[in-house]
Amino acid sequence: MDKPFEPYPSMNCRIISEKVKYRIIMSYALYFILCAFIFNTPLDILNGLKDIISSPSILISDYMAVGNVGAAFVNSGILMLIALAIAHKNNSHMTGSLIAAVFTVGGFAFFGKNVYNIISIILGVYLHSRIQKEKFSKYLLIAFFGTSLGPLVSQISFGLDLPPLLGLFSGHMAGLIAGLVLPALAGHFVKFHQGFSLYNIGFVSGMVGTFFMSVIRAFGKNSERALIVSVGNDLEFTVIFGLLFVSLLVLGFYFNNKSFRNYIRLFRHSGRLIEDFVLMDGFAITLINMGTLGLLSTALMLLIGGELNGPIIGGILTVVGFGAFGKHPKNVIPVMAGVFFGALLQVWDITSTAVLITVLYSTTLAPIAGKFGWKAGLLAGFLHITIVMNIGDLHGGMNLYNNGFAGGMVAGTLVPIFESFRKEEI
Amino acid sequence: MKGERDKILKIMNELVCFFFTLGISDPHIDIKKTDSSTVIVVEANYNDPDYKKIDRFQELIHGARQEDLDEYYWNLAGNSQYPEFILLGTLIDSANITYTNQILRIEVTRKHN
Repeated sequence: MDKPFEPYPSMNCRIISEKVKYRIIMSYALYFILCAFIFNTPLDILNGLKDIISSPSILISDYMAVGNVGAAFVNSGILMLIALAIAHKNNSHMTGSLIAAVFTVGGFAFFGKNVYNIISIILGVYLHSRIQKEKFSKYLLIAFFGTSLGPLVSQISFGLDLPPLLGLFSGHMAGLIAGLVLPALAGHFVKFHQGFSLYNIGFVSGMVGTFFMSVIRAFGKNSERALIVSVGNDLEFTVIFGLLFVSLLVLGFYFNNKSFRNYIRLFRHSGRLIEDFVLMDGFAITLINMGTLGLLSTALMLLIGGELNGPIIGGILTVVGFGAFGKHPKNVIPVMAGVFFGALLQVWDITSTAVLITVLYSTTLAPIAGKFGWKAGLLAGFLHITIVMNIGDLHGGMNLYNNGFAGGMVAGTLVPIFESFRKEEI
Repeated sequence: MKGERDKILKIMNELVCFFFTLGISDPHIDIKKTDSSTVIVVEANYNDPDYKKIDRFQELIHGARQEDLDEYYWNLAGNSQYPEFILLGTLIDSANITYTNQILRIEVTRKHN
């Protein structure tokens, strides 16, 4: 377990033990929990957590508005700690994919994931591993990313007006079934887009959510879409997350022999699954990339004139997490620009939360820009926003990775077209 | 082990793909599968070695099996359009690359645990 991965020998950077890597990522979870007390008292936080846990959590439900800001921070920190504890227990290395998963779980804990709605999904994946007589560690990423279906559990439990016990039972049964089928689908669906959409589970969860939503609608129930967002915390969040991203940069700088040397080399990667930056370029360079992406994303949100709230913080943290697993400024900027221009030309309000999170999460298509160039990235982003704004109704907001669902479709459609116009290799 | 044969075939495809990227068109493949592991050897005559590519390949597959990636992403391996040498590295337990007497030989082992 404590045997660290060694990056390329040519990288000549410091080897960092697994224990140190775990501690660094864990410190960010603890940082979130500590930050909670800037905003609320412990009692307020407890009450906020109760509200969060008992909310339907359908997309988009900002936990800062559903509960309170402090409760959302604690929820995020706790979920990251749970993910880290499960990973550590299963002797998983702190690779780029695991960092991406932990930050994604933490990010979405600001608007849709909570202790109540992730457990049965993780248990379902665990059950799959038992049935297959395989180690759970093999399915860890699927379990973590699969919590995208958290609203499925919460919505059935609290949002369909079922009798309380029936609601709780049905919600968890749905989560268990979803978790049970996710591993089989995850490996299969990745072939459709050939790894050009980084949120592969988002694509899978979109399909699973659509099935569940169809069944629910078939029995006369429905899921009303939500748009609950908080306002008025831009300054505080800029400071809190600015410090976080600067600390990532400083740590990366320190571990990289006090330099930013070799960081630009990271841009040579297309980012297609599974380009794990920790394995390929080392932990230090990865931290620098994560910090850079965090600062870039936050600055972009503020420049556009958006409000920093739960979903947007979640989006920024997801971009940061995938800074260890496929994303870097060179491949995310063209896609983000495509979404931005798409929003300007189409009917969407560029400063709305729905569009801003699309700017962030559209970077699921970063590998398209990385592989086929910035023009392809621009086009992918432009098309992505048109799809993502239409696709949420299929699963009724039960899949938190709506952009992953749309991204899978965009990548699965565009990549074969781009490929057909490429010069044939002999 | 469910899917193990498919994974072995994907690993073999990736190895052959690497030989193709070196411009080698007649690699010889040898596979030995036992209950505990599978050893795949691919070798070929190679007269004008591109050491940079070989070194890079060696770095990418430096033998760090990653079971979580293994189960989730193995389907991406073996596509000649997009060689996944880093993925290959996460699918195998050890690798040995030699270049002697103008023969490039790559031997990889995957344990069935």
